[in-house]
Amino acid sequence: MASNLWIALFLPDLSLQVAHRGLIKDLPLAISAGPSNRPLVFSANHAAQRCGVQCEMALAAARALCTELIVLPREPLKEQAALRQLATGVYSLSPNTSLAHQAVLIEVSTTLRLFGGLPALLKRARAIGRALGYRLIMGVGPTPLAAWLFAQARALPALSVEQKARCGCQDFAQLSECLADLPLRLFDWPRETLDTLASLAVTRVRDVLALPRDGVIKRFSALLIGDLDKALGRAADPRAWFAPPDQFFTRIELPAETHDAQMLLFPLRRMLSELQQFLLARGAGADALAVEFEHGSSARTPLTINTSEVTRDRLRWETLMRERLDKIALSASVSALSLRVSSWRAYTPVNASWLPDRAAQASAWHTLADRLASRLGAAQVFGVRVRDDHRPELAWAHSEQDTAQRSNAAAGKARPLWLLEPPRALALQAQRLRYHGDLQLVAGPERIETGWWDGQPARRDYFIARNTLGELVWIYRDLGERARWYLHGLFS
Amino acid sequence: MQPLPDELLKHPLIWRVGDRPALAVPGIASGFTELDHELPDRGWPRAALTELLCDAVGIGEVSLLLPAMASADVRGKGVIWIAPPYLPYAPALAAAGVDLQKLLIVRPATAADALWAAEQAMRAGVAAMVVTWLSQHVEYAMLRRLQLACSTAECSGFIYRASSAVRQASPALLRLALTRSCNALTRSCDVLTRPGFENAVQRDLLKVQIIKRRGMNAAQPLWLATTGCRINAPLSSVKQAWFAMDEMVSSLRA
Repeated sequence: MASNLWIALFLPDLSLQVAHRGLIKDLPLAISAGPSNRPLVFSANHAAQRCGVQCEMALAAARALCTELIVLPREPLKEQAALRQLATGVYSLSPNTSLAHQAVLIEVSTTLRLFGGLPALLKRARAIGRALGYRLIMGVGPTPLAAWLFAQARALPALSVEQKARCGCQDFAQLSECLADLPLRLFDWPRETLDTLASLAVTRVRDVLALPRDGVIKRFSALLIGDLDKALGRAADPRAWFAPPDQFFTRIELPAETHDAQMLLFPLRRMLSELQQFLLARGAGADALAVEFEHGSSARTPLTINTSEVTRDRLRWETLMRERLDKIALSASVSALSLRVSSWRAYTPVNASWLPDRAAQASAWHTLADRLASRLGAAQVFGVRVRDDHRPELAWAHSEQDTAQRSNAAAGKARPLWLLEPPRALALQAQRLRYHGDLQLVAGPERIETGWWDGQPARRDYFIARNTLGELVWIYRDLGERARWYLHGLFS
Repeated sequence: MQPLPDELLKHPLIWRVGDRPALAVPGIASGFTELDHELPDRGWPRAALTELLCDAVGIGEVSLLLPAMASADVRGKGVIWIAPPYLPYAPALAAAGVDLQKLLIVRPATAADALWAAEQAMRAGVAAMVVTWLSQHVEYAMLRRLQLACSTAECSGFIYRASSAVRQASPALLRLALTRSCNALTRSCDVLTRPGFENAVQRDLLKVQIIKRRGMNAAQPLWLATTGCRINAPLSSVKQAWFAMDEMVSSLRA
């Protein structure tokens, strides 16, 4: 049997990390929890700890120590969401992903070779965590519980570098030896059990293992031995696999409201890298992103980013966002922002090549078009194509991609380079047509007639004329009741 | 004084007045043999800004660039048109051989946006040619930025400006003034007597005066037969139609 290898991605101070997202400056921050009549500090960041704020301290005391302390309530739902988000991110590393207490576990024995060994894989996992804005501590072990314990042990502040290096084990044979030195308080056992064990001078895993097994079960509970067996791989430890969500949605609440659109780039960048991870895990790409800026509880400013081709290039979205943020008028200061992608399509990334090739060039072309369109407006940037119609104004269209159409309607006939839309009525002065001087007919007529089938009838005689400046123009006489002359195009 | 050694003179960065500069990479063939002969790169410069000064619309000023746009090395990369004065008409472009799939048209609302778009398009280096119509006065510094963008990204930049800009200094490597007048046309008899130019009045003839170019000073103006308009119908039938219509119009008025 191939032995399993688990990586535990432990998020130390998860409640703080969740609150920290979108925060730029290092402000003192504390998370409160406990009964509402006497809230306690659940955790505090470095800035707050420097002021003397400690965990389990009464919130009032913490506020007295540090006047500018930002206090946010603990939000377990958001912590769960953060774990799911991280799990979605690392889903690209292994399909066997599972959620645990404050950690995400991945089983990598099947994908180890693909990613080029354990160090490379750990590096990738760390990069994913960093891109999502989380600080990770990783542990490696042959069983899920062992990996989780090693990660927790590495998070202990009192540990020296050598001790930390020893917290990890890839070989099943050495597992019991590696686990033996770990402190028992890493397990999430009841506080009383741990206290009783501590009073018996049983503080490490090796101490419990030295005790008679039946006795431990009788005095404490089967839980202890069960957990130890799972950690040592003596008992099965089935885990529920994580399934990534079907829709991408993420939201960041800003710690302070801001009016400056450029300040929003920072949280946006984080959300985009999250989206990139999400799409990467599914082998998909997106072509429409919906961002919403929330002003207080009700007002919202929507912003849609469209790309002309399916992509999952974070930098490309970011450039487009930057252009749009320059132009967007925020009606009020922004308190939160969200990003939603409701549909995605299969996406195969293009192989990079040494020489510039056609595909890369096409991609650069689309990138430029998107960039121009996001600043100038989508209607201002377009391609044109030929339509098969004999009426001049219907013989062209704005082009969508790859809808080339051949047309022989105007083959061999002179057509102007510039089209006036709508045609400009020409004044008839003393039986002479005038446009920048007297017009003299050069060629024609060419009759273009009928369009009864789609309600845009045309009966016209077209002529080419030249004025005194030497400009060649395309004019027509409407053969309808009003019999007026129009300028429809300019040769150039 | 010792004459300079030949190897030194062959260096691409050295040229003497009166010499044509040595050619590293030939330019984009303009499709007009006479014009290619006069241009220092034997074609439109590949990584530089070219200024085209003209006042009128419809004298064949765009047809001057169409053969280059239809050439094989431009078709592969693409063309961007920024702030054209009117809507470019797809059938005419297709007839001229321009690859419509590789044509991007940008019509910004303001002149400032047009300049921004031009700089972005030139700097991106994805298009072989970027053609911009500038309707207002542009600062020298901005033109310099465009020239720099073209030279770093190896893009052929073209700007159309009003002919009043001829007095303004410009960083563009090549400046051409485009004009046409029917009177001048009849005077330039040498063109009209050449074979193929008998019907010169009926064809588009564009007067191209080179104001600035690398190397020698400008020569005589050129008369180019741009192919913006191919006229098929004989004029006599046109005149008949015109008179018939005149009568119709006057009868309608009465």
